Amino acid sequence: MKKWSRRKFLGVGVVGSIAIHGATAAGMTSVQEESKTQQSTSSPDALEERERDVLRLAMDEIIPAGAAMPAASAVGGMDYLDKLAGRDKEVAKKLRQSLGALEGLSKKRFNTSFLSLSRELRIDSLTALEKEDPDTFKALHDYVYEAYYTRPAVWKLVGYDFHPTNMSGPHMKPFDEAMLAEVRKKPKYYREV
Amino acid sequence: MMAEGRADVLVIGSGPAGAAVTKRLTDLGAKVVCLEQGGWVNAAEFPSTQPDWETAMRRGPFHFNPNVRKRPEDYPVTTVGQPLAVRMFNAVGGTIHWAGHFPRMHPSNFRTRSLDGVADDWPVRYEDLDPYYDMNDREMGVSGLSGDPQNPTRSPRPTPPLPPGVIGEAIGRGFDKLGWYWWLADNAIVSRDYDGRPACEMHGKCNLGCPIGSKATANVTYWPKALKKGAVLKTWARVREITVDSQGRARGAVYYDRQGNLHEQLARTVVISCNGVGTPRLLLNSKSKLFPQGLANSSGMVGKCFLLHPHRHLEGVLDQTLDTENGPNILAFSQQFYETDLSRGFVRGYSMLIGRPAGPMNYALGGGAKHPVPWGEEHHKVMRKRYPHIIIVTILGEDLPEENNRIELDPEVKDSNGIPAPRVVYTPSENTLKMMEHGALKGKQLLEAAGAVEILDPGGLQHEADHLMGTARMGNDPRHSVVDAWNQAHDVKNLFIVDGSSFATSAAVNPTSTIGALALRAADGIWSRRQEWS
Repeated sequence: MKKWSRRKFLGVGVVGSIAIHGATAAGMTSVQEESKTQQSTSSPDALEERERDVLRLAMDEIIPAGAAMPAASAVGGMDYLDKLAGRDKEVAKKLRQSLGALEGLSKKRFNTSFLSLSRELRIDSLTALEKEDPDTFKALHDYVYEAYYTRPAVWKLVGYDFHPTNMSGPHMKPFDEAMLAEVRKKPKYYREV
Repeated sequence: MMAEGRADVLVIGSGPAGAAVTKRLTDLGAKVVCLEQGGWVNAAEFPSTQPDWETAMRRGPFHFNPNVRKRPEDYPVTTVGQPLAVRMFNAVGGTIHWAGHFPRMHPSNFRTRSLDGVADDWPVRYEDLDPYYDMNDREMGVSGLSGDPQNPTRSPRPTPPLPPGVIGEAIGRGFDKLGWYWWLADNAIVSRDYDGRPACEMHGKCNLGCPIGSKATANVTYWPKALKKGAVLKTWARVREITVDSQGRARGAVYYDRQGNLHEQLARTVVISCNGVGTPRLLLNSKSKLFPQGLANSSGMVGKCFLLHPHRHLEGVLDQTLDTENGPNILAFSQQFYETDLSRGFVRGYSMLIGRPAGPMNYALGGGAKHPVPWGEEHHKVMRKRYPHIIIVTILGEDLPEENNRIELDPEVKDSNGIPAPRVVYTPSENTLKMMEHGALKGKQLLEAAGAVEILDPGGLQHEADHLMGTARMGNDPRHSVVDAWNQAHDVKNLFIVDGSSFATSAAVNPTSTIGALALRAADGIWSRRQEWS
């Protein structure tokens, strides 16, 4: 069989839909990439200072430090969500709703801002939000998880080895025919018609 | 409106079915024009190339669900009954979101009425499709291993199996411990350089685009060859309706271009390949004096008997460290419970697909089993226990056709060109629910045998509907079916419906391989009738 290098394949093999490596790398746009180049809160949809303060405290209760792992804000979670909210109105809207609900619940339950609560009462407020308004809590929860687990610093700590599909992949142990030895001994097992 | 030159064959939809029909007919000598409502997708934009690739499963232009994605070329899909997230992608080649799993139906799937007294027999047999399965495998490039005792003998696979990795070893031990049948999965992903495409690199993100072309999406398999041979592919062409002449023959199709201008593409023969939702939508929207119920719908069966694959993802947490993010998404399967055994309390059966979860974000958010890692103090402890220690067992069941499960035109919601959106009405049957419960029990048994220390179960059916079938069903009787054994509409002799819509039953295997085989066979049927082209 004719051997094809990936470079050759990418150069001649396919119409239209395959990019060469350089173009792929150049075209890479992600929040992480943008984070390096943009000023923070550059969009009118980005979070306000007070919202950011609430978010910072909330995210560090949702994913706190512990078990040799950093808290969400310590790995750039705030920056990630601020940028994301700045470029995606829907995200900004949902985050604002969640943070507003959390703040409202704190005032209702403890007559003070979420920002003034002790750690124990912040957890209490988040727990109450999860129970009383699960969808609103879920939005905040899921954005915090996203912010945390898209951080390369976290990947290293959990052992995730990222292989983008435009570069070489990981090594895998070759298939061993012996794995199927038991099944091969069995008779055919489909219904004759 | 401008009428455009008459093609021998007009194909609507450029996914795996439309691409296969186009390429085969072009090879045979027909002048084929294909209309595709999307465009070529630049592989550089695939989420799988980017560090935040997992976010594409939450939002953005590569989300699986067109209602979330909302690209200009997408149309909305509304639902009634069981909440469903209908998944499709409108672009050249179609199957960008696809794991590449490539099983075949069983002979019994074509004879469920005769064998089990349910659903309907197909007017074709497994043996009729067998050579076309092989032809499609060669065109696409498939990895796998012959010799599976759960299936009829098939030709040597074009490339060797992809390595199942540590997960494969663990689950293999589980299967063997229980004495159950299992085998390595066939995948339309080449494991060696093949036909100008490079071998898979095991990146493990197949569902979010394969920019190197190892995965056999039609944009890298059928289309380059078809275009080279002279097929014409018109992108950004959204078809509104099939037009007919005074004799009730298909005349062509009216479509919108990207600027909203109307065109009519004329053709001697028309093929619709718009998937199990888009195809009935187009037929129902093609009403005329001669076809007041919609085109090819004298039986009233267009849109009815919508089939999907009811499924349930179980996740087993092992102590052992697994290679969860590498390699094929579906690495092995079992059809131990595929055939009818009435002592189980249901008819027909299911496949068990062995898969791997995505990256850490997906794990933390709960994956397919919908069990998020808890927030707060326990978070890191639980995450460490689960990552990277999860094996997925998907129970994928055979859906039985019921007329109440259907696609119809939404009376209110329209796409950006004012064409009515499809509305999905679906409720799972009692048989399905019993089958899924049985599958969940057996899946748990398997995971325990493989060494799982914890099993995560969503406790019900998944809401994702990716295999869209049955809505222009194949049959011999024009009163109860839409197309015949050659995918030719009973009512309109120069109209062919070639995609999952034509399935009479769903089987309990992923459908793309069968869709491709049927498409190649239909192309041969169209070509053999070319003397009837006027």
